[in-house]
Amino acid sequence: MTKPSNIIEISIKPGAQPQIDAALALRSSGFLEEALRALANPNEYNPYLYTVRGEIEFALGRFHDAALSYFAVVLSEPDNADAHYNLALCLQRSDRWDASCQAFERALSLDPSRDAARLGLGASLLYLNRLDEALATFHQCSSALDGPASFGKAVALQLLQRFGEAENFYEVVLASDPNSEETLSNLIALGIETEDLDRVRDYSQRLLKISPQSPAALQGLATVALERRNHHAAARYCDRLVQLAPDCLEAWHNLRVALDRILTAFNAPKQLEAGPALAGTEVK
Amino acid sequence: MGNSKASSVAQPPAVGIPAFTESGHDQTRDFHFAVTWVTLFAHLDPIESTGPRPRQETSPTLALVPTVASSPLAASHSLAEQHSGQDSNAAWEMVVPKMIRTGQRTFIPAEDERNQRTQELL
Repeated sequence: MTKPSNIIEISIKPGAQPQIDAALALRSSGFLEEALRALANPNEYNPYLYTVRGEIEFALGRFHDAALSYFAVVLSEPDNADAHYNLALCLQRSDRWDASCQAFERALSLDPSRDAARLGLGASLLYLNRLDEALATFHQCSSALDGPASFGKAVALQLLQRFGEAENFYEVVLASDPNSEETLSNLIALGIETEDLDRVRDYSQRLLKISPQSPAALQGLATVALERRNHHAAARYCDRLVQLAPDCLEAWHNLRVALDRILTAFNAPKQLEAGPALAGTEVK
Repeated sequence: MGNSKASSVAQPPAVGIPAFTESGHDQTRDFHFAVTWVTLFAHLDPIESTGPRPRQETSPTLALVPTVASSPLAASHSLAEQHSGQDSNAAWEMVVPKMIRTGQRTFIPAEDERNQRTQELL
């Protein structure tokens, strides 16, 4: 039976809500890939759908895709501070430091109390080597984020070669978190720059207690041992380093130097005893 | 301390067999000490939405048709009441807007005017 020509078929497409509901159910069950597939080809533009999609993509580590999803959200909701902040995080994790700064700044202009955005902005500014701006940004953080803000200030000051101030802020961090490995590692680097071997040794030993396989701690101790001509210790630390990081050229080289020095020191008395037999032989 | 240096720039990992020909036999090589700030990122988590955002109420559009909240008479009454206590000698005048016609109705349809000109030319 043919249809009369005056009848028009109307297909009622469902909105985005069923897709979002399906995706949320899948996500809550841990099926992130399936949840993402449920949000593919949306029937209509819906900012919430793109927000959920961005969240799932972020959780899956697809930061570039997540950035595109959040970008779609901020286009339709320019006053959405959360979306700007999430977009900034995605850009940061995609190594788009400059763009992430802009997104963080936009989030802060919409919500000046958002300290996490300030922290993120400071971190991106450090990568861009805009150290004074980074320092100023960390100074603006409220006391709620005192620990990480102090760490940020310390890093900015260290890179600005204001070592004394940097160390003070690192000590603030260590006072609240004595096991902060990155703080101790940066303090070892600071000790190297200021040529303070005692501090290098102290921070390295402290770090080694927390993390027995820390390359920074072993390198610090090896440097001190090599500088102080403690050949056995130097060889021991370098040996551990080459086991942990076989591609560390410096460790291989310094291990050989330390072993040579041990051998030389071992042979020196024999050469002296030999006396006339080795006459004319230069002792290293 | 020799020449060990700390740097903020991470070096790419070196792969291969170590070659010791670049420096003297007894010369130590500097380790690379990097300044890092990965800790900061531990405090930066995305904000998860709790649901669709309420749609922003758009500002009321300006109506093209003028709206009158109250009749002019009522408005003048209320104004008079307001001012009566302040200045009882105030005089009120009602202004009636007039439509002023500038002349006789001389509208000619464009088609008629063109026909008229054609006839004149002929």
